[in-house]
Amino acid sequence: MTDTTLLTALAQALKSDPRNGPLWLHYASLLAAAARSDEAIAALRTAVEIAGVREAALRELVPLLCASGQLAEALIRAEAWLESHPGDAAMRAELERIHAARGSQSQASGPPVRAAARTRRPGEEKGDGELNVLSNAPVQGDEVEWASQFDWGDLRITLGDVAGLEDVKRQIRLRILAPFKNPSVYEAFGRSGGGGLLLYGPPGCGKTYVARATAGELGARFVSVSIHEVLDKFFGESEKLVHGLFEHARRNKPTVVFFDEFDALGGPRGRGEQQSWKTLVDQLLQEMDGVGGKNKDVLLLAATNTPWNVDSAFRRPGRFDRVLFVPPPDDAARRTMLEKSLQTLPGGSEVRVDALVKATELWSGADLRALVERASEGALERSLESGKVHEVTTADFERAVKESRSSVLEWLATARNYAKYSNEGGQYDELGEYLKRVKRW
Amino acid sequence: MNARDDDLLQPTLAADLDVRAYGRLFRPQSVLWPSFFGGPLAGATLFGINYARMGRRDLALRCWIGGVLLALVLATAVAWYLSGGWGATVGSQRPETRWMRYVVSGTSVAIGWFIAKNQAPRYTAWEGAGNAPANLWLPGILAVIAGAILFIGATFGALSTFRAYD
Amino acid sequence: MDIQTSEAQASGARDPLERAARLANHFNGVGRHDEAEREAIRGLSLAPDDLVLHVELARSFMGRKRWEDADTVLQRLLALAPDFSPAFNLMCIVRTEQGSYAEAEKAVLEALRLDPQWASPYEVYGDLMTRTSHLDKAKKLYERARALNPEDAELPSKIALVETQLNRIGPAHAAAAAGLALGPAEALAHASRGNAHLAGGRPFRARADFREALRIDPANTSLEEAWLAADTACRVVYLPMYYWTLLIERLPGQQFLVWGIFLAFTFGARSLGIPPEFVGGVAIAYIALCVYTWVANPIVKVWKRIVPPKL
Repeated sequence: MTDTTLLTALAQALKSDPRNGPLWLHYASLLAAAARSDEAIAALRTAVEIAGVREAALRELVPLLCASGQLAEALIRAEAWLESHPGDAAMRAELERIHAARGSQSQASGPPVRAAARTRRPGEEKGDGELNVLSNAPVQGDEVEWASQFDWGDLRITLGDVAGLEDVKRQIRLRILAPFKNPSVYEAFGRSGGGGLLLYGPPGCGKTYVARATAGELGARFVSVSIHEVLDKFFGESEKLVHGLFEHARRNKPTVVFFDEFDALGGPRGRGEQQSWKTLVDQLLQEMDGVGGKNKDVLLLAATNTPWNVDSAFRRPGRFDRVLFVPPPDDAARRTMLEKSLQTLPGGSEVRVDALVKATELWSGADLRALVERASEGALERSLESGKVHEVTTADFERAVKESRSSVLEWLATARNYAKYSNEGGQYDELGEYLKRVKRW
Repeated sequence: MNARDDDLLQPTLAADLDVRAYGRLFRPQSVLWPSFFGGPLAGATLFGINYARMGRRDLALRCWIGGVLLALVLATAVAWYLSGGWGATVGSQRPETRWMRYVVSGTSVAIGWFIAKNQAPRYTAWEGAGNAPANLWLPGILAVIAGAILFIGATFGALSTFRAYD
Repeated sequence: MDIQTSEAQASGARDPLERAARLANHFNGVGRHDEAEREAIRGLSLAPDDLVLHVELARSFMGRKRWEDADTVLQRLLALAPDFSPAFNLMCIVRTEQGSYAEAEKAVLEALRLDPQWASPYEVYGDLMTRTSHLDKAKKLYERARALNPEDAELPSKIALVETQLNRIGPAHAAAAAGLALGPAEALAHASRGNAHLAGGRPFRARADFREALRIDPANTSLEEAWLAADTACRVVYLPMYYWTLLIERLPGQQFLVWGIFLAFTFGARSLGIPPEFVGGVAIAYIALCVYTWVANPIVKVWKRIVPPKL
């Protein structure tokens, strides 16, 4: 029997017996051997949910995730395992590899400070300052377990790690953090924590990073909902999953639920949309409303490059009624980013940063990263030719600046029209002021 | 009614209407100005260039030949008038040449208007595909100067011929 | 909380092909064409001959104006399914944008031959006829599409635009009103009425209509240009020029005809016994009119810099 035939037969068998853990493991190993790693990962994810083979599946899954570049999930799963099995040397070694791959120092010497999946014993209270984690207690229904699979990201960052954007940080502290940290003060005014914040701005300017930093400041659970996984599942499952996601968040509050690229999820419900999609979006809106105050201490964050493509229903009070513009990095932020990047390059400390900062006005963080990569290519090529490490020079950067362009300008041109012609509610006031300041109005 | 009987579903467009192959066209209405100032040769030159860029070399050739013929006819008429034809001279008075200028310009523009109407649909289709018209300033000025000089030359040539026969 | 589920749809959409198709369709619908392309290709890797995925892939290219790529996909689609009318319909759009108008016409006629009761090809054919200045036929095609799909809000607006180009302002207003009744939140509906107002001598109302259209669809640069043009017409320095242009555009020969009339008057005045002073006055007025038409535009441009259009 050929490999493909065998795999097909196994897939058929699993359809009729989906809880057969050992068969899932065998299927996954064959898929991995056939270099079908995505399918192998999917199979192992299913196996991880089956009690009898969880450990074996996890041991296979984590290295495979690491090898396929899905480091965030690999990290989370490894840390989760080590919380309950601290003596597991093999998994600790795997964690080292993951950290090395992510470019950060190994945290494997002790329990992770902000573990994404620390097991909470039933009845254990959350102490002050203890960082909240997702419970591994039995959950109700597959949809809630599904919700727990989302990427948790790196909860180690706070607003202090965000370069520049002082005004954005000030707004977040005032409008988001303060209600969470001083609930009694806000309750005296009849207000409660929770609600939603929509971050918008050009691509590559740190909206997702700011959202994660906000959650890091709160010490809340952070659930990052990737649109691709969500849409994939949403189209494949049902509105129960939306409910499961929010129930999971409510059960483990305070929680920050973050929707990235929200316009793909919350786009206008136009005449061409499928009925199932409209029902799904309605379910999402209902969950956001949190009937009976159920969404207290559940903070919803979303990020989008195109806020004008977000259905206006999502911007009503109680949903994403607060909107914050995240502009491209200012001079100070660009300086910080460039200096940080230059530290990792040979000769980076000799590069004249002032000129670079001036030449990269209205560049995004992603543009700056690309600039550094491009500039270092020259030194890299020289190093490869000569066999010894050459330092990167200011000339390399000047050449790279000439060859590169800001990706933000096109966004600003489109955004300008929205700020000018479609700002009746004042939602683009900040954007308008920014455009006037940078003379793009 | 099936598609064959339905007039609305009969092909309308010329088989060669593919503006991707066109060169950069002048706006036909704008070419009337060089026709006005430069006479039939100026207008015919520019309209002919437009036809050629549309891939209609046959029409371009007809346009140029027609322009030359019209210029010769008008030059002859002007020369005839200047040599005393049509009662142009009354006693010792000089003939009123501005009438002739107006007739030449008016005729050029009138014929040019029909050509512009003919070119307009193709031009609109080409412009609708995202193209911007070619700048007419320099070619227009050159066409006017060249057209005027040639027309005046033809007029004097005809005038000399008439006077030779007088 | 009572949760409405759509199990039947859910079970159907668990099929990876259908899931890919629905995702691609969704992403195309919200303008995320890169992701739509990715999903379509993912689906096509499972089923290389799937027609719907080919359509979504073509749509993802069309959304990014990658006409050549869309053309390639559609040709492949037609090789797989030579009688698939949506492919011909899309091919007409692609070929129209590429400028191959005759080929576009052939494609849409084939779509109509295969499915004469589908409104969309009539509309697409109407767009082609509008582009190629066959306005009467365009109008008839839009009307045929409208008869098949009376709820489509865009069709009456497109009819209004065509009527305006034909200088039939009354029917243009009627069609624009019908478009607004069906789609009061559609930018095109407001823009088509604005066009009719502008061509009918009501620049202030036109400006308001274009402003509303721009509020609905700010990213549309042609709407912005139309609004700015209407604003120019509303400026008092330009207002006479605006009305003069409306008149001139309706005359055969336009400004040259006026020049001819002036000449005829000047030279005929003597034989008609009109006093020279009056003739002189008319001559000065004509020259002043010429000068005004030359300087009105530059003056208004400067004025707009000093006093920008009011938002």
